[in-house]
Amino acid sequence: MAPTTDCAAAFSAALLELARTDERICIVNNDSAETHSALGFQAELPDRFVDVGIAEQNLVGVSIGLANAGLRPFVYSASCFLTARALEQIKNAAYTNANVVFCGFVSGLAYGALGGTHHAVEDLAWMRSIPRMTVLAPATPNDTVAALREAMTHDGPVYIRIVSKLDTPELFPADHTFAYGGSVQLREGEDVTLVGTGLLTTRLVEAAELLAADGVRAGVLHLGSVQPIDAEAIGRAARHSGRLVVAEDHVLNGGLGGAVAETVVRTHPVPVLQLGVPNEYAPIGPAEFLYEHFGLTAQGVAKRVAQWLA
Amino acid sequence: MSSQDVALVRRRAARARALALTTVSTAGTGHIGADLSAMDILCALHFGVLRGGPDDPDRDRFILSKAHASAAMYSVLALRGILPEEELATYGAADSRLSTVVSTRVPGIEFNTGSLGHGLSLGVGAALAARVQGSGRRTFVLTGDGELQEGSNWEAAMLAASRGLENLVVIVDRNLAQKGASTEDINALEPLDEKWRSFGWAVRTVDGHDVEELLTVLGGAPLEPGRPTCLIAATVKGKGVSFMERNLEWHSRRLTPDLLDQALRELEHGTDD
Repeated sequence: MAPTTDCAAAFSAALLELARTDERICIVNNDSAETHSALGFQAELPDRFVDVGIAEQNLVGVSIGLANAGLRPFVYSASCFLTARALEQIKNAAYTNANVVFCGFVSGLAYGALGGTHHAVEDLAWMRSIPRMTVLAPATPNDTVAALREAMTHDGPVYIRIVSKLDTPELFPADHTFAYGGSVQLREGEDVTLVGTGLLTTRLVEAAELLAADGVRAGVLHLGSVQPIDAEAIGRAARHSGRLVVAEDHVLNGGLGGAVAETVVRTHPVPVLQLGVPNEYAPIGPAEFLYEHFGLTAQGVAKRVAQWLA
Repeated sequence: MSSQDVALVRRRAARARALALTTVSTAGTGHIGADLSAMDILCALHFGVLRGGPDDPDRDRFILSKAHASAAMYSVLALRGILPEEELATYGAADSRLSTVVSTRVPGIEFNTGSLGHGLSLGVGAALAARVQGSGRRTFVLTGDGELQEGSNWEAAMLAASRGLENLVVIVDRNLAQKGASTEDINALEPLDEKWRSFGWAVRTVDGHDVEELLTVLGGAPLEPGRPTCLIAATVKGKGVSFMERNLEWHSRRLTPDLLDQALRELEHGTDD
């Protein structure tokens, strides 16, 4: 694997590059430019950088107003505040079919010891329940940049769940493209398929290697597009390996595991093991401690899968 | 502005009131008190102030935050020739475009509002967009008074003044009534003008049924350079129909055919001047 890098920084650098030639692009943020690597955009394109202060309802409302004029606003916020505080405004952005890209930074448990107010582990469930909303959860820096390019071609609202503060290994080339409603089969395996999105995907790749050392042939399927979801790829994996494991840094009810389970019961029912955050609040500690606590590391996933298959 | 302009808006307002009353009576649903309260403001804007049709990208933007005044809004759009008048008979009916709070299914409606307190943020975004695009177009937001209890309005009000959005005008339909009772009994808004002023807005109280005054003030906005404008429009819920005026029962009460006839007769007599 390539050296580890930061998805949020890659995303913001790519957005600035696009904005230099596309005058429709603007950023609307809630006093969070530094946290989300947007200081460069703010310095270079101040007229298209709107800081609404600490006010997420207004953040989203303003972005819908900008989109109405043909601009392409990117809403920058920690995903915990964006998706929870402004959920109704986001719903109405989708009802209006506004071309707004909601960028949910510091997703999952990345805020670590700040605790439950700052963990964003319900957002996939909320966002994928909204009609017209596209929900993307890229896994690596290049995947995140590809999701940005995909969002720019899309008509209607998009939510991108962005990995921040936790470096990830790169799995994709720089010219990688992100397929709307598509997926990437990262590894083939006959015994079980590990299905992931966002941060967990790279951990599943590593978990599959650990399992291989124990003689378990595990495939890995990356569902970067959570809504719409690649039902065909899920069905293929279900038929091919007969068992699915879904892992996500999200509560177990309603996230990717829910989406995959909904799909397989309609297409090819197989046992599904869901790994994620149980419906409870995390203990206090640094992010990596929390990921270990919930078994959302390569080792943790490999262990649970081995137990399940035994 | 000539006296003919004023007379034209008055005639349109009377006609739009009749259309709105007929619309909600036919449908057996709606918010007629809010429709009649907002009607003169809507007509002053749409027949005397707003520039550009729905397809003009550089049109002035109008946002109906008090989206429950939908029968009034659709009636105005019908009189503007944007919506076929006969379609008003489908208001709220199966497979109609005419939701009973306004939606973008209808040409001329910019945003899906109706969840109260969302309109002003949309207006701030629209006004910022005009600035980014170097356009002199203006943005007008009509809010109810009760919905100012929603905190999102004040987030938006703060930002509009902070950015000096003189291209933004909010009109508060100040009829003092929300669904259940007076705004002042439920969660008091007064002193409302001082609230807006303290947020950095230029504020004036106007008579929300005085078409001449509305045309003058709306046409001349901003009230002060470098500041967004807030007009607190004193209005009467149910305005124009004696048995509805100031009667909270008419927030959303059903209008029977007999009462519709009585209301329409009153409106006819009221437009003799």
